[in-house]
Order: sequence, then structure tokens, then C-alpha cells
Amino acid sequence: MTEPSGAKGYVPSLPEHWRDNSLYGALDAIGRFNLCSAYEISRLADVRAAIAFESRPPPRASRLLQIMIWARDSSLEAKDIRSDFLHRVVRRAQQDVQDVPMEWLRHTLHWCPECARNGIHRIQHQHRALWHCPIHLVRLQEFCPYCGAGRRYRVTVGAQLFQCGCGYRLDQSDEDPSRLRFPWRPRSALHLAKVPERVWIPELPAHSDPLRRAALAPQDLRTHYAEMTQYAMPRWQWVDRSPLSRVLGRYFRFMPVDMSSKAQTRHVEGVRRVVERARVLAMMAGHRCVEGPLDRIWQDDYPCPCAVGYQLWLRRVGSDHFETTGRDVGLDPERYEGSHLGLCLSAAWFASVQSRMLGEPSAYRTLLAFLEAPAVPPSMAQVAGETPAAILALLSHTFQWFAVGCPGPAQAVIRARARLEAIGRASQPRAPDAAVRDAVWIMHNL
Amino acid sequence: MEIALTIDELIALRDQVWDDHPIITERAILPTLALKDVMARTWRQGRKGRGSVAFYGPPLSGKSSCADMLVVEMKRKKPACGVLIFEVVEDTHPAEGRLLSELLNQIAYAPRIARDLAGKRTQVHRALLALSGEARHLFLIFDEAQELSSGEFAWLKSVINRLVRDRVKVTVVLFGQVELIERRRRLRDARSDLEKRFMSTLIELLGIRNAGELKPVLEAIDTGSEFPAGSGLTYLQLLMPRFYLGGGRLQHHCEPIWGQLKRYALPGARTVVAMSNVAGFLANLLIVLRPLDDSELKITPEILQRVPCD
Repeated sequence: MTEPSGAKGYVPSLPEHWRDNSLYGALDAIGRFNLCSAYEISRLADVRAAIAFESRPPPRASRLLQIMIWARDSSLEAKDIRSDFLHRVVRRAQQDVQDVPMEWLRHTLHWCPECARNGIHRIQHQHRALWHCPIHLVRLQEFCPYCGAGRRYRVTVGAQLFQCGCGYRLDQSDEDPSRLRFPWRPRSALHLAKVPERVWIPELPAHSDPLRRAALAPQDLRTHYAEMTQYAMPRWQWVDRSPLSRVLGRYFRFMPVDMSSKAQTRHVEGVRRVVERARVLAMMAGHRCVEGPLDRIWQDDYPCPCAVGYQLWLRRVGSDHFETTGRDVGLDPERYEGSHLGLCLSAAWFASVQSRMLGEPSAYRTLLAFLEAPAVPPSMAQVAGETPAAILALLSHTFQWFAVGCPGPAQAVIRARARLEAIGRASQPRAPDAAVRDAVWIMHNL
Repeated sequence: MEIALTIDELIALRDQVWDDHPIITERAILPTLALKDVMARTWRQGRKGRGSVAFYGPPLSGKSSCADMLVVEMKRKKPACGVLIFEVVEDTHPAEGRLLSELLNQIAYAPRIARDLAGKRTQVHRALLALSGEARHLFLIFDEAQELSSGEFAWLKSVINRLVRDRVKVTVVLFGQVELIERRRRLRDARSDLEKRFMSTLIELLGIRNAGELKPVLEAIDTGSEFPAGSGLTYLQLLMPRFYLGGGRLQHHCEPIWGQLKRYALPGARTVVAMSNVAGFLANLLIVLRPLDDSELKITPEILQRVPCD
């Protein structure tokens, strides 16, 4: 029994909830058991802690790292805590910090897919030195296989331990288990190892310095293309797509490369056509945000990815690269710049989603930093056919406009409200303007 | 843990806790024959996967004290089991959702209670499952059980069945007024399965009938009780320290005390004295004896005649 019934409130839990789980795992398991969230359960622990340690309440149980540090430093005994539930929480936190010292604790959530299937998260999964689950010997996961989002090791409102913010089940209960258990043998591993080296995407930076890497590296995109193209091969040669490739597949889509229309148009004409098409698509999809300079767009914490991507493309677009590389591979400027725009839009979309998941607006710019590196053209030897030819991959720049919901109107309302409040404050000392006050109230309650 | 106190310290402590003493407040749970019978029958039912036993008695016959004692005793005999007392309140429009919410409220269920019926069923099931502890044994005690309607018995049956499917032993103990006999008859007419499930055994709770039954109660006051908790002091030792030190014990005066108590026998029940009358008499006896506390004190029939029972 967790706790005898009484005025303090009873939080039902089973012994197995506490046996193998980390504190986060236990809170989540108890939450599922009681048809509520881990956060709600952590709040129940907070209430008990506030009563038990009236003079110096501990940190919130949702802040797992802090409660672990507190539990380690306070060295409480069982007799010090009367609430059985709180006692178990503190004991679990102490056990966690004993199993994985704070210096070795990862601050981002890692999990084992096999443990997750049993609803278990072990504290060992958070150990910096471990990359495989000590029980199942499978590689630990750190990103959502669908959207690629990572998460901090803390309990957040409305979040479930084994469900990403995008809705994807991290315990893979949505997937076909037969496909997971018996993947295709990697007969075309050689294909996947060699092809990415030859993939050339217009304006894609070519650096591979890990220090510059910010969640997305150019090589990831090339690998994604290689994995996509394997489907042209016989089915028995297919291999499972990597988790990263599955994530990138949501943001980056490739177009079939059609080299038949080698129009000898000028670069400016190609750019004009892409701009026209982008504006039509933006208008159809309700993206009014594309107007205006990039600096103004960055005034919002999370600007529309389409606006950011489009403005980035406008800044980057130039005839030099196309003239030196695009014409050599026989590509027409409209396709070249269209793919370039697709790269900017998708990269901005990816950065936007990641920064939202992290809750860090600054991560938006950081994640876009990989576009700042110079693009490297295919080597002349490849173009000349002396070495295996470069594989041209073109990105689509159309689907993003419809896939991304524009937060522009919401941001406009926020800005308008701020302006109205400023007006209200300015006019208040002299004569309270009822109309302004009403408008502020309406905007506030929108 | 026994505390070695001088007589003056004992008297000071007595003055301090007098008004809260279980004997004085008439809240003491003492081992009467009826109480022992309830314990034994409940424990016997606990052997079964799905056991039940029902008790009825007139008002103030000590049913609620029995329920409180059951909690302590069952937890003592089977430490890893769960015991829940459910105080039934009359519901003019019984509904399953309300019963389940009431169950959750009575166990002080801390998480948010689901709004839908399916959610409540799941929460009640899981809460009771967790409550049953590592022993996977749950004692469900219903006080004022005559207020339970046929529908509520049926809903409780489904709750219990679900627990039994999860290999939890469930022992149901019903305490009710004499109206429980009527409820049993109606249940038999409406749903015979419910009568078999919950009230196949219906036993009357009797008060004290003779001096022999009173003696264990007085013995418990003399030697088999403790207040304040953990002090090691028996009830008599604290309330009458000088008398106790001089070797005086209430059990030695069992016959004259019973002689006085007989006057309060329930009408039409021969010599049965209600537990409320016993508790009232003992409280008043000790109030009368307090100023007379002395190692040489003799409890004479004259003193006992001065003791009221209300």
C-alpha cells in the first residue's frame, strides 16, 4: 500500500512503479496508473513537500536535476518524512543520484525503445557513458523518430514521458512490430555508404566539422537522399531508413531531376520566376509574413519559418555560384534557385520546430547557422566524368508553404496589444481613454 | 517504551491529558466478547478469495468502534494488507458515478478524479488495487450498511469482481442498524445473488451480558491498554496512579460493578447492557474516583451507587 488513507491524500501506486524506474519514469507510470500526467503527480509531491518542509521547501519535483541534487545534499532519513508518497519520491531521487552521479547525468532525455515498450525509464539511460541499454543492449534514443525533437530531462506540463510533442509514440506502439523486429538485411549497405559522398544539392554547405554541427549536418541530408533513392532498387535490397533520415523526410523533400529543359535563360530570369511562384504560393497558403526585411521578422521569438527561409534565400541568392557550378552540371537557373529556396525553407522549418521543442528562441538562429558555411561545388573531376559522377538532388520548395501554419496573425495581435497598452499608459495621466482601455481589454482576452 | 515517572509526575501528566483520555471521552476501544467475535469471524472470512460477513445491532452498541478496531487488528495480523472503512450516507438518487466518486473521496484519493464513468471505474479499481498492498488482500468495511441500495450493492459487486480477477482477496464487512435485516430481505427478493454475496451471514452484535464478559474489559483498563501512545502507561495507571501503585485493580471489583451496570440493561433484551452505557459508566466511575485516588482506596457499593451512566 502506498499510503494509508487519511486527510493528507492518497496517491495510489504499485511496487513495480518504483522498482526499476527513474524518478521521471516512476512519476510517469503513476500518472498513467491514475489517468493523469506525470506533472500532476509531481505537483502532488510538491504539496506534500511544502507541508513537510515548511521552513525550507525543496525544489519542485518536476525539476528532476534540482530535486536530485537536493535529495543528495539534504541526506534525509525515512523518519524525517511522514508522507509515504513523498518519502518514496525522495528515496527514488536519492537512489537515482547514487546510481548516476550528477557529473555523469545527461541533461537531455534518453530512453531505450524496449524499456519504453514496458513503460520503464531507467536512470542508467541518462548516464553519459552509456549508449546502449544495460538490459536490452539496444541503442538509446534521444530524438523523436518522427519530428527529430529532443527533450530536456524534466517533467513538463502536458508532456508524457513516452510521447513526443508532435504526438509520436516514443515507445513505438504506433509502428508495425513485425517491421521493427525483422528489418530488411542491409544488402545495399555499400550503396548507402558510397552514394552520400557523391550527392550534390545546390547551395548545400559542405563542411563536416563536428564543432560547427548544430543538430543538422549537410552530410545528414545527403544520407537522407541516398536512403530515399534506394527504393529504386529491388525491394530485397532495401534497408531500414535511419531515424535521422525519417525525421528529415518530414522537412526535406526531393524532386525528380529532369534535365531535358536546358533553357539558356539568364540567372536573373530564373530568380524572377522562383520569386513569382513563391509569392503566389505564399498568398494561397496565407503567408503574409514574407513581406518585410529579415531584421523585422526576427522581432518575434518564433517567426514564421517560411518568412525566415524566404528572406534568407533572398540574401543568399546570387549568380556567382550558379554560373560556376549550376551551368557546368547543365542545370537551368529556375530549378537551381528553386532547390536553393527549398533548402532555406526546410532548414528554417526544422530550426523553428527544434527551437520550440527546446523552448529556446535563441536556438532558432543557432540551428540555421549551418547554412552560413560556404557551399562547395562538385569537383571538376566529377563533372568531367573522371571520377564517379556527382548525383544531382533537387529539393522541393512548394510543399512547405502549406505544411507550415503561419503564426503571423497571432504575432500581429501581440504587437498590436503591446502598442495599445503603450498608448493606454501614455494617455492615462491626462484623461483615461475608454476606447483604448476597451481595446486593450479585448486584445488581452483574444 | 516505558517511561519511569514519579507519582507527582504521573499526576501532573494526568491533569494535563484528563480531558482527552479515551475512557473519559468514551472513545476507548476495549476487547469485549462481541468485538473478539467480530475479529474472529472477519479473519475467518479473510481466508476466502471473496468473503463477506454482516453485523447489525441497536444504536450505540459499539459498531463503529468495532470497525475502528478491525482496521488496527487486520493490519496487525496481516501488515501488508489494505483496510478501508466506507461510511455509507443515504443517497436518495443513487448513481454509480456518485458511489465511485464517494469511494475515491473516502480514501482521500489525491489525483484528479475522472469525469466519465469509465474513468472513475478504472480509478476506483486501480486505487483499491494499490490499497490492497503487497499482500493483495483488501478488507472493505461498510459502516451504516443499511443505507446501501440494491443498485449500489450491484455496483460494488462489479468493483469487487474486477479486483478478484486481478487476484486480490476481498473481504467485505458490513455494519448496520437493525434495518439491515429488512435490507437483506429486500435484497433477497430483488437480487438473490447480491444477498448471497454480501449478507449470507448476518449476525447480531450484542452488548455485555454478564460479569464474565465485563471482566476482560476491566482487565484491559488495568493492564492491556496504553495512553498516551508509546508511554507504556495503562489507562488505570494514568487515571488512578496512587490506587494502581497500591495494587488496586478494577477487575477485582467486577461483580459489584456489574451489579450496578445491570440496572441499565436494554429493554426487552434480558441483561444485555449497551456498550454506550458501559462506556458512560466507566467514565463516570473514574471521575468519581479521581478525588479519592489513594493506595488504600476501597471501591465500595456506596461509591458505585453514586455513579451515573450518562
